[in-house]
Amino acid sequence: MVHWEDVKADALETLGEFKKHKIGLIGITLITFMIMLGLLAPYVAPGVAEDWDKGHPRWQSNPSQAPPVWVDWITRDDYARQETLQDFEHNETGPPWRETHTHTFTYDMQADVPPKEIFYEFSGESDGYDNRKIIIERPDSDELDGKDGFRQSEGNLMVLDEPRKGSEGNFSGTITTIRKMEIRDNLHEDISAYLNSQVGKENFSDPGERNINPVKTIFGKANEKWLSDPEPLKGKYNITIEIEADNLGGGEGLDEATVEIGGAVYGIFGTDRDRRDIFLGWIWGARFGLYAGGIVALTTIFFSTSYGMTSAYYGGWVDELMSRIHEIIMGIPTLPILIIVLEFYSRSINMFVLIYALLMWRGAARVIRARGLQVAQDTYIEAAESLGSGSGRIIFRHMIPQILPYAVAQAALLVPIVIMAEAGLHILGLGDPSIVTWGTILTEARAAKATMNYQESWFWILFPGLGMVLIGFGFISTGMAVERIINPEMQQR
Amino acid sequence: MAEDALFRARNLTKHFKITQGFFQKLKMEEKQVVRAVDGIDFDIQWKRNFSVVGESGCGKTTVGKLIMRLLEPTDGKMYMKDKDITQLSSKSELKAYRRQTQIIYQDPFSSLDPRHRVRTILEEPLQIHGLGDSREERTDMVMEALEEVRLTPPEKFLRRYPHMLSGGQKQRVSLARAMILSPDFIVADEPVSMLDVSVRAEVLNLMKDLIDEEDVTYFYITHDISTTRFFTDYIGVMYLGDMVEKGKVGDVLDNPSHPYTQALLVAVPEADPERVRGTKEVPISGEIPSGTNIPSGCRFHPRCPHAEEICSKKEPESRRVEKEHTAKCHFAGEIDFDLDVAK
Amino acid sequence: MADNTVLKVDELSTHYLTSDGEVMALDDASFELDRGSSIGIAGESGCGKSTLAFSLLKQVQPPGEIMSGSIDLDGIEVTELSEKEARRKIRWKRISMVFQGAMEIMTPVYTVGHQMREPLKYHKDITGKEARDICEKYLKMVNLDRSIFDRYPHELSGGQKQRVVIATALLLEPDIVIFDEPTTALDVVVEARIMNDLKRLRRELDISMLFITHDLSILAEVSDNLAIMYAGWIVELGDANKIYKDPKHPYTEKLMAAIPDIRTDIDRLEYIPGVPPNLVNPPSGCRFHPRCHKAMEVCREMEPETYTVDGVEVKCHLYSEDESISKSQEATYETAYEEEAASESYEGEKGKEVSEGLEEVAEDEVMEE
Repeated sequence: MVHWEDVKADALETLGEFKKHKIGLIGITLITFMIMLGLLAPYVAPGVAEDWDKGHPRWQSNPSQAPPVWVDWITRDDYARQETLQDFEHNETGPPWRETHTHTFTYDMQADVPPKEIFYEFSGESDGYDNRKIIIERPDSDELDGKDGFRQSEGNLMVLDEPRKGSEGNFSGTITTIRKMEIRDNLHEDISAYLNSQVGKENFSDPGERNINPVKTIFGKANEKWLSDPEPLKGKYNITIEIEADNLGGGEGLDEATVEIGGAVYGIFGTDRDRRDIFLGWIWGARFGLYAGGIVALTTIFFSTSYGMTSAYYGGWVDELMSRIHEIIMGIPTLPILIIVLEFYSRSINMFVLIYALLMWRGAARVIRARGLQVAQDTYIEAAESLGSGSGRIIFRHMIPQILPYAVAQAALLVPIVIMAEAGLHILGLGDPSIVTWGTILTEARAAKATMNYQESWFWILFPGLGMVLIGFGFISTGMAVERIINPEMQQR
Repeated sequence: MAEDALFRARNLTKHFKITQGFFQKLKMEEKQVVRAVDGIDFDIQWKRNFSVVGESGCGKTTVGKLIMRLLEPTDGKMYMKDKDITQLSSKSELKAYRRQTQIIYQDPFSSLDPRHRVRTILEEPLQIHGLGDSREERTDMVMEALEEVRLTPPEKFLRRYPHMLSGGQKQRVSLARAMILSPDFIVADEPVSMLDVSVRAEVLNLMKDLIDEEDVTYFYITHDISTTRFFTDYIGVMYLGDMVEKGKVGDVLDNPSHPYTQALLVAVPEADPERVRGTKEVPISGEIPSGTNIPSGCRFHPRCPHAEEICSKKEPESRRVEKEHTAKCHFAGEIDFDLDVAK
Repeated sequence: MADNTVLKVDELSTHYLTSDGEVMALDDASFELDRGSSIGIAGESGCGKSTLAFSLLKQVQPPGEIMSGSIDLDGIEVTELSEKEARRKIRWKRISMVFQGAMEIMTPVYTVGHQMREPLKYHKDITGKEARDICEKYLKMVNLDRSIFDRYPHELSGGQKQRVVIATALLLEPDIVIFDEPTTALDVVVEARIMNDLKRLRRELDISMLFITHDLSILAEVSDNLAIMYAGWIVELGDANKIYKDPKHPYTEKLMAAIPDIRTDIDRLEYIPGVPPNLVNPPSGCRFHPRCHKAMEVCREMEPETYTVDGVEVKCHLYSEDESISKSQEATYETAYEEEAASESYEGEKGKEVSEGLEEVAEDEVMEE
C-alpha cells in the first residue's frame, strides 16, 4: 500500500542523503545539466544536426579554428571578437557599363590578438561585376592595396562566386574571404623596401617566399617582426572594397554590403577547421549520446532484472536452463555484429541502439541473478511466504526493490560505455552520418590532424573528450551514491 | 497425550538430497541424503507451549519450517486441529492455514524487509488475507498490534524503517506481524537469542503475556535450555534429527532420562560461581556427526558415556519414564544420572 | 604497582570523534589484573567493553582515540606507543586477543598450520620444523590432534576452529589473553568444554585472562574479578564471588536477575526497561538513572563517585557516606521503570553503536521534519 507521506519522506530523506555523498551530488548535478542541455539542443542550436556538413553556408562567416571566447580569461590578452560592420560609405562613379562602387568600413582594432579573418559580403542589382579590389588604410597611414598586394594561395586575390542570374537579371554576391595568402614578389620587395627605410636593412630578416598570415600582417605593426610574428597595431582601420559593376540594365547598383570581422576567438568551445561552432555540435552530441546511452540503460534494467529475478526466484531447472541460454548470449561477439549490421544494413543511430540494447543487458543480468539468489535467501522473503504471500507479491514487493539499485548502478555504468562505443564506430567510419555526436567531432579532429598540432586546436579535441569523461564520471559516481542511498542496510555500515 | 491437541506430528520426516554436480550425476553416484528430521512425533495442546532444544544441526529449525509448510515433509503427517495439513488441496487452503500459524525468526535484522516501514510491514499480512475494509481500518489494526507488543505510542513507530529500531524493538515488530492475523499457533525460532540479556527477558515476558491475551500457543525452538522452564510447559530434546526425550519441562529438566539431555544440562552455564568454579565434567565427547552418516542403533551411542553393545545394534524405543515423560534410550529410567556437577 | 600486577589501567577514556559529536564510548575506566588471574568484563552491547579491549591493544580504529588515562602493561605505557611499536612490542607478544567470531577470520585457502606460523615468523623469526613443533605443542594444549596442522579451515568444525584461534593466541606466550565473546557462536556442549580448557590453560601457563562477554553465566565460571560496564562506565568492580552473591549496583542487580534459573519455576523474568543511552549525549548525572529502579533526585544532577563497599567498587550514589546524597529524595522524574513501555527508547538507542549512531541521527532529523 502506498502512503504518500511516506513517499514524500523517502524523497526528502534521499535528498538529504545525497548531501552527505558529495561526489554523488556532483555526479547527479552533472548528469542533470547534461540532460538539460541535451533536451534543449533543438532550441539552443536548431538544425545543427542537419547542417553539420563541411562547407554548409551556416558556418561560412565563422573564423576557422578559433579558440573559445573565454581564453582571454586565461591568457589575459585581449582577443578580437567576432564583429559585423554595418555602417559604410557607398560611392558610385563612372558610366553605367562600368560603375565603380566603393564601400568603406571603419574598424577600430583594440585587441592584443587581432581578428583572424575579414569577410566581405555585398548585394544589389547588377548585370555583372569585375575587378574587385580591397584597400585597407591602416592607422599608421600605410595603405595596403589588395589588388596588387595579396592573392589567395590558389591564385586569385579574392574569389567571389560567379554571379547567379536571377529571373529578373538581378544577382547577389555571396561571402568572400581572405584566407591564407602569400605575398607576391613585387609586394614583397615593396614591403622589404619599406621596412628597410624604417628600421635599417641589417635588422630585417628576409622572409622570402614563405606563407604568412595576411590578416595578421594587415593588423601588424610594420617593424622587423611584421612578417614573421607581427605585433598588433591598434587603431582605426578603413576597409574599402572597390568593385566595378556593369549596370547597363539600370538597376540600383551594388548598394548593400557588410564586413564581418572574424574573431580571434569564437563561441563557447571555439570552432573547427571548417568553421563549425564546436559548442553547438557538442550539445547535439550530448543529446544523441544520452539518447543512445539512456535507451540502452533502460532496456538493460528491464531485461537484466526480469532475467535475474526469474532465474533467482524459481531456481532449479529454470535457473539451469536460463543460465545456459545466458552463456550462449554471452558468446555473441558485439563488434563483428555491429560492423556487419551497420555496414550492410543501416548506419542509423537507432540501429546501433537496438543492437546494444539487445546485447548489453547480459553482463548486468549475471550480477542481478547473483544478488537475487542472495536476496531469495534472506529471512524476510521466507517470512513473507509464511504470511501467505504469492510469488508475485514476493517478487515485486520484496525482491525487486532490493535488486533495482543494483540494476540501476549497473545500467548507469553502461551509459558512458555506450557513448564511447558510438564514438569508436565513427572512427571506424560506421557512425550515423546524418547526425552529430562527440564521436563525429573527434573523428573530424583526428582526420584534420588536430591531435598533432594541439596548441592551435586543443579545443577541438578537448571538449568532446571532456564530455565523455564528465558523463562517465557523472554516471559512475551517481550510480555509486544511489546504490548506497537506496539501500538502507548499507547506510548502517 | 490428549485427543484434543492443537497440533500433532506423526512420524514427521525430512530428508534433504545433497545437490550433485553435473559429473557426479553422470557417474550415477548415489545421492547423499541428509536426514535432518528423522521420524518424530509430538503433540501440542492449546496454550501449552512446547519447546524444542538441541545443538545446531539437530534439525530443530527444520521442524519449524515443516510446521510452517515452508518445506515439504518427506514423510509423516501433521494435524492442525485434526485437519491434515500435509494434504492441503489448494493454494487457498494453504493460505488459510498460514493465517492460523505464524513464525518469528531468530535474526531481527534480516527478518524484516529493510525497505519497508513498520506500517507497511504490518499491513502486508492484512492485505494478503484481505482483512480490514479501508486504509483507516487497517491503520487502526496496525496501531492496535503495535500497542499489543508494547511499542507505544504506536504513531511513533509507524513510519520507522527496521534499521531505526533496536534489536528488541525489531523483534517486537516481528511479533506484531505474526499477531496481527490472530493466529492460534506461533513457531518461534530462537526469537531472543540475538538480543541482550535484559531485552531478552523483556521480549520473553511479552510473548508469555500474549498467550492469554491473544489465545496463542508457541512452538519455541531454542538452544538455550535456561529459558525453556520459564516460557514453556513441554519440552522436546532433539539430537541428530530425532527427538530423544520429551515431556513436561519440569520433569525433563529435573529428571533427565536420556544421557544427551543430561550432558546438555551439565553444559549450561550458570551465573553462580560457587557451583561452577571447578572443571565441569561434560560427560560426552566428540561432536555431532554429520546428518548424512547417522550412526546405527542409537544415534547417540558413539558419544554416550553409558553405551553398551545393544546401543550400536538396536534403535531404542521410546520408554515412558514418568507420566508424559518419555526418552529414547535403552536404559531410560534405569541409569541414575548424577546431576550435581559442583565439585 | 604490586609485584604480581601485570596490567594496571588508570582512568582510561576512549572516545570516537564522529561528525555527530564525541561518542564517549569509554570513560574513566580503572582496574588491575594480576598475573595468572582473570577478570570478566560484562555489559550489554554498546557498553564500551570492546572499545576497552581495543584500547588495551592500542588498536582503536579511527575516529576513535584514547583521550586520557594510562595503561601500564608490566612497565610499558601502552597509550604512548606508536602504531609500529604497539605492533612490534605488545600485540601477540604481550597481549593477544581472541575475537568474537574469530573462527570466521581464518583464510580458507591456507592450511591451519600456515596461518598459525605467521606470528612466530613475524615476531620471533622462527620457521620450518621448529615452528611446526611449537604449533603442534599448542594444538595439543587446546585438546586438538596435531594432524590439524595440515588441515584446511573448512575441514574443521566451529569448535575446532575456535580452539585453533585460541592456540594461535597462546603461541608467543603472552602475559594476557583477551577473549571477546569467545564462545558466543558455539553450542553449549562445545562451549562448556572450551571453557574447561581455558580454566586449565590458565593454571598451566600462568597467564592472565580478560573475558569480554554479555553472558554473565559464562563469566561466573572463569573470572576471579568482575567488572560490570554500563554506557562507557565501569559501574561495579570487584571479586566475582562477592558480586554474584550480593550485587551492589542497581544495574548489576537487575542484570543478574534477568538470567533465568534452570532449576526453579518462575513466572516472570526480571528485565531492565528502556535501552542504553546515546553516548554522544549521555544522560546527566548518573548515566543509568533513566532506567534505574532505585533512582533518586540526586542521580539526575550529579555524577556518582566510586565508593568501596565490602571490597567492591561501586559507582552509585546509594553508597555515598554523605547521607544527603545516599538518602536523597526519591526520584520525582519519570524513569523507564514507571513507564514500563519503551516508548522513548529509540532516542536513547541512537548512539548505541557508533557506526549505527552516525546514520541514525541524520535519519531522525529527517523524521522530525
